[in-house]
Amino acid sequence: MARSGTHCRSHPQEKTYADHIYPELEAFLAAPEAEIAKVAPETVIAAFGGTRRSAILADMDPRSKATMAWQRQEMLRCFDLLFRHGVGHVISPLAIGQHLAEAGAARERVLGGIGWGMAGPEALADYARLGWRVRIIGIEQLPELAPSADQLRSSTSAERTPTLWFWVCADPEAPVQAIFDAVHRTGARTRADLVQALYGEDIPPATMLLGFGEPTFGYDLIPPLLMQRLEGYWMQRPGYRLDQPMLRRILYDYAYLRRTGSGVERSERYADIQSQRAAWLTDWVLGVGVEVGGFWYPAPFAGASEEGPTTS
Amino acid sequence: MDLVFRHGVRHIIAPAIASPNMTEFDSYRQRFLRMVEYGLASPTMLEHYARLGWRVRMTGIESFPELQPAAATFVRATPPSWSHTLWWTMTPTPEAPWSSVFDVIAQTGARTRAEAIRAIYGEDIPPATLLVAIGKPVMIYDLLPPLLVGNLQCYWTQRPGYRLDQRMLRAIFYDYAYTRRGDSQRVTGVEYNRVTAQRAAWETDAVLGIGQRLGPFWYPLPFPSAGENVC
Repeated sequence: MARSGTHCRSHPQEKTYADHIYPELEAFLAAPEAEIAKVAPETVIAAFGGTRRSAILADMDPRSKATMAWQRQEMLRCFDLLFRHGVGHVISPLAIGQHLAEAGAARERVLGGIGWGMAGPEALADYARLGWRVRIIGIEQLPELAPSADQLRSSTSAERTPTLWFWVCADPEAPVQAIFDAVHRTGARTRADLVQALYGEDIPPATMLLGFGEPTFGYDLIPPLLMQRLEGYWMQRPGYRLDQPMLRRILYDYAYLRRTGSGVERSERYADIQSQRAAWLTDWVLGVGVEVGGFWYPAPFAGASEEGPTTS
Repeated sequence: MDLVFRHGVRHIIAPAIASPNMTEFDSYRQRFLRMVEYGLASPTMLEHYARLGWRVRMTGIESFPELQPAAATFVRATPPSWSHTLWWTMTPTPEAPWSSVFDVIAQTGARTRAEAIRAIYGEDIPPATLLVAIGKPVMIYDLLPPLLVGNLQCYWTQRPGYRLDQRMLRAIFYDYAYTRRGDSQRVTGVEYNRVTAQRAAWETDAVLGIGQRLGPFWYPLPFPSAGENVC
């Protein structure tokens, strides 16, 4: 799929916020995948979470092998949804550090399970069926995963897209140290050259983060050289529960609503600000949450209205 | 910023110039940089910093030689004792944040993050763990100096300009210090047993970050209360 450096249509500068230049949401939600693919990001970081909660909600034992198998299939379904909507590269961070810290002496068993999930026989069969290229990146400090990485290189598609990149990070400091080591080892001085040195090819930087729960940023979640301007979205459904309507609403916001434009001529942009005063004086903060049964959950927000927003 | 410092923060990293500014104002760069210099380092601002006892520094000025006098002024004006530092950052292009790191590594031989931080900033700076920004939830290296990012908890107000008040800041700090840190400590088997009673909350199709247009601007969509969603 051809893709330029931008990831949505360009609009006339003077009408970057005029409603008629992008489709209505309902039309977008019903559009063919090929149409939506024209405005989809090239690379997405998909950081799902809350898998234990998800298993419980599905009346499954979070620790059972059946649950692991089910969640692997659900994970692939979500990635397939992204690829079918035009995403070329999905970076999937695995919270390896958290799992290893919890595992303690059972480190080998945990890594074995992770390796199976990424590169076991069932996974390889699925990747072949789906036509995906799959790679593991970040294994410098996890040599136990090298066999799985080799297996994926030799057994999955050679086509450049779609590619699923499993990002493994045992320690948030490790990715930064890897960059330093690569600069010294190779003499590389550009992002593209260093990505090539670290990951074997120049992966297009991510421009969307699809996360879960509370908004955070860290190098265990986001490979430091694989992001550009990153538009963040956080589902509150635990596990792999992304569905098509939700994804399309996210893509609509990404492709159209966030492209508010700028430019030197600004006077008409502020014509209605006074009438929107209440909205711009809200004390609601995106990211502040409340406790729901022991877990973080976004604080409620009434949104903008004619009478002005209200908060919790 | 004084509000943030008075609540115990020691370092504030604030973008004075972000790369989109340079794209937007390229045709009148000199005028824009004079405005930046005046805004950051006018006599009134210098008196303000001195009265509050802040140390002020500029980073990224290699690409902005016009601002080097201001940077030197800040160094000369360092108070005899200080406990707060305001770091004004300047980013000419989207690639600059990491390019400057690669350059420093090559020039100084720095082998670790700590060594590179000392080379760039002249001292050890603890990685940032809190981001407070405005508007759309976007993460860019113009706002996040690559070597100064830790495990960052992120928040976006919707009040344009410098309109953060104490109540909002304390709501953010409470969430940062307690609500977000609770999961790993608070959650036990008992909490997981209650998940099904909260099913509707965990099955919401609301997504943090999806917005709407408010005039020409982006604005967050409403987010339902968990209480409305809990069975």
